[in-house]
This record gives sequence, C-alpha cells and structure tokens, in this order.
Amino acid sequence: MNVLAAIEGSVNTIGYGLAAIGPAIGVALIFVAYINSSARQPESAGYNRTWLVLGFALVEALALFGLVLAFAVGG
Amino acid sequence: MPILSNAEDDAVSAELVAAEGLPWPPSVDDFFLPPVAGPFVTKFSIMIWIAVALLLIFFLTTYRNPKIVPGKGQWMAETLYGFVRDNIAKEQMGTAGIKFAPYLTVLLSFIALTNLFGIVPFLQISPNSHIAFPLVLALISYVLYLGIGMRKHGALGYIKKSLILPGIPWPMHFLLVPIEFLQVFIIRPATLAIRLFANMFAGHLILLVFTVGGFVMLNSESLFIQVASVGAFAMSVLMTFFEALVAVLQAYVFVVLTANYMGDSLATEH
Amino acid sequence: MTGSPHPPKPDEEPSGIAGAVPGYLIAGIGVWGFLGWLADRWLDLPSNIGIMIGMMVGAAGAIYLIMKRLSA
Repeated sequence: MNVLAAIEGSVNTIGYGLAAIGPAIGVALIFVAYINSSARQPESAGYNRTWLVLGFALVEALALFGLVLAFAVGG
Repeated sequence: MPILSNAEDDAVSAELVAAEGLPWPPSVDDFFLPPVAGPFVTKFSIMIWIAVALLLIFFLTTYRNPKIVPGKGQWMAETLYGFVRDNIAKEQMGTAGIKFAPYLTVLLSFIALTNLFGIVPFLQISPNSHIAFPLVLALISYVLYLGIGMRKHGALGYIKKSLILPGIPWPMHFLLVPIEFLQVFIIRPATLAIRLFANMFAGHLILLVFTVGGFVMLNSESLFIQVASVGAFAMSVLMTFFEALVAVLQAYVFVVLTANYMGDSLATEH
Repeated sequence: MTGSPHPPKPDEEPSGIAGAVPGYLIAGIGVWGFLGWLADRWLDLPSNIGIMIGMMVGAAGAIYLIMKRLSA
C-alpha cells in the first residue's frame, strides 16, 4: 500500500507536553496562594516573597526535568 | 499543486537550510564544543577560569582597605555578604550558620556569574549547561551537609536521626525508612544539580531556537516569512531578559536549598 | 609589628591585583599542566590523565598562593 501521509518527529515532544501539565498547575497554585495572602494582609508580602521564589523554582524544576529528558533520551 | 508538504519537500528544505550552514534544528550536539588549546581546555574551562579570576579580583580589591564609610566596591561586596548572611544563613541555620556564610556567598556569586555568561556576547553559553559543573557544586554541598551532620551527631547518630522519625508506630518504619534514605542521601544532591543544569540547558536551547530560527526565516523565499522573522528576533530579545532573571533566581534557589539542608543536618530532635 | 618573621607585605594598589590574579592563575595552570604533560609522556599514562591532574593541582595552588599573598 502506498503512503498517503506521514508524520515525522519523535514521541518525546508528546511526552514533554503531557509532563508539563502538572507543574503548570502547581506554579499557578503557588502564585494564587501568594496573591491571596498578600491581598488579605499586605504586610506579609515581603516575608512571603522568599517562599514564593523558592516554591516557584522547586516546582519549575519538575517541568524542566521533562524538557531535558525529551532531548536526552533518544531525541 | 499540493498544498500540504510531503516528506520530499521537508527533505529539500532541510538541505537548503543545511547548505546555508545554519545549525537548524538546534540539538544536543550544539552543546559540545571543540577543544581550544589542549585536550581539556575547551571554551567551558576558559569560562570557569575567567569566572574564578573575576571573583577573586572583585573580593580582593573591595576588601583591601576597608573603611568605616565604605566606597562603592566595598559597599557592593558588603551588601552581597550581608544579604546572604542575614536572609539566607541566619534564617535557615540560626546563629550557627554565620560560620558558613562566606561559603554561601561565594557559591551564590559563582553560580550567578557563570549563569550570566549565558547572555554575555561572545561567551553565550553557560558552563552550567553541562551536567558536570552543577554536579560538582552539588557534591561539594552534599559532602558539606553530611560532614557537619556527622560531626555534630556522630556518624550512626546522624543516620538514625535522619531516617527514623519520632512518634510513629514501629511497623510504619518499614515503609518510611527507604523513602527517607532515598530522599536525604540520593535525591537531594541529584535535584540540586539537575535543577540548575536543566534551567541553563533549557534557556540556552530557547535562545538558540529564536535566534537561529530568525535567520532561517530570513533565508526563506517568501517575503511574508522574511518580514515575520522580526518577531523571532524580538522574542529572542525578550527571552534574553528572561534568561537574566532565571540566572540569578537559580543561583539564589541553589544557595537557599543548600543552607536549608545544612540547617536540617544541624537540627536536634523535634 | 615587632618580631614578625617576614617583612611586611607591600601595599599593592588595586590595579596591581587585577594584573596579578590572572597572572598567577595562568602561570599555575600552565606550569603544572606542562609538568603533567611531561609525566604523561614519560610514564605513559592513559588518556591524558597527567595533564588533567596537573592543571587541577596547578589551579588549586595558584588560588592558594593568591589568597596568601594578596589578601589583606
């Protein structure tokens, strides 16, 4: 049978796309918590900024593991 | 005339792009640079030596003749050290942490400097985008927090303290001890290294996509795509600013987590 | 400073440090890298291990020398 259409590329990108759903929701939850707490009590905004930055970097790391593995494994 | 491109068209356009000499699409091979002057002297080694020289020159000259009313250089160095000592060392480790504030300051400035090399012209790649350099930094922090924990609690006492939590029924320990062991002894240094490496790797890859992609778009045949390449170059400018933010942020997170792990090692039973 | 065993260090102006630090680093890495390369040739070590260890030892020695000599 002759090929009518073909898709090139690798499954790695689909895997990375699926893996990025969780960290995206996680980062959004962190910022929601920071905005809510700063709105309720503005004096705590400066203190909470440390935890905002730390939490964001920790969750973002998981999304980036997915990106690196998409390239490193058989890409 | 076929509207959808088939495999032959893609092969032809790839050959056209390759004939122009553009490294498109960017891949992992772009991160491996040829040696410059000897078997181990690559662009990355020279960048590390430049970073070491810059840090030594900065800290030595600004602390040469410290005055009560500081000049500019001394003020910058003191701000940096004060920030690390107050906001990172004291907060995460308590008063015992002041001894480690010089190590954390040097770690922060070294990682921030080598990350910022990713956007400096002519150097445009960060040494931390190879897993080797963040791995060594994470190993130094790993040995340090294990060492101070074992010095304070004794080797067996430290292992007992970190693996066994007080106040839970003893059958649960079979479930929890492997998890704690994996977490403290293996996952912590691995994630420290991989977090820094993955951020620098992804940032460099994004910059490659936008800049080389802009040139690929400039070399195409239709005028519409050539005009649209301005968008690609504008995105690369925006991503450069984002890279600067990510560089400093990742250095800060590395140092805060190191201080946290060291404080965890020094903490006594809850 | 009475009875100090070595003469007091000359007070180098800041511009002297900017020239001395790269100089010490290049000299340390270069000298010990060259000695490591010689060791590679005469002792027939595999895969350039002599140069690697030589450069690392040279860099460590250069940094130690810089800190001892140039810090206040």
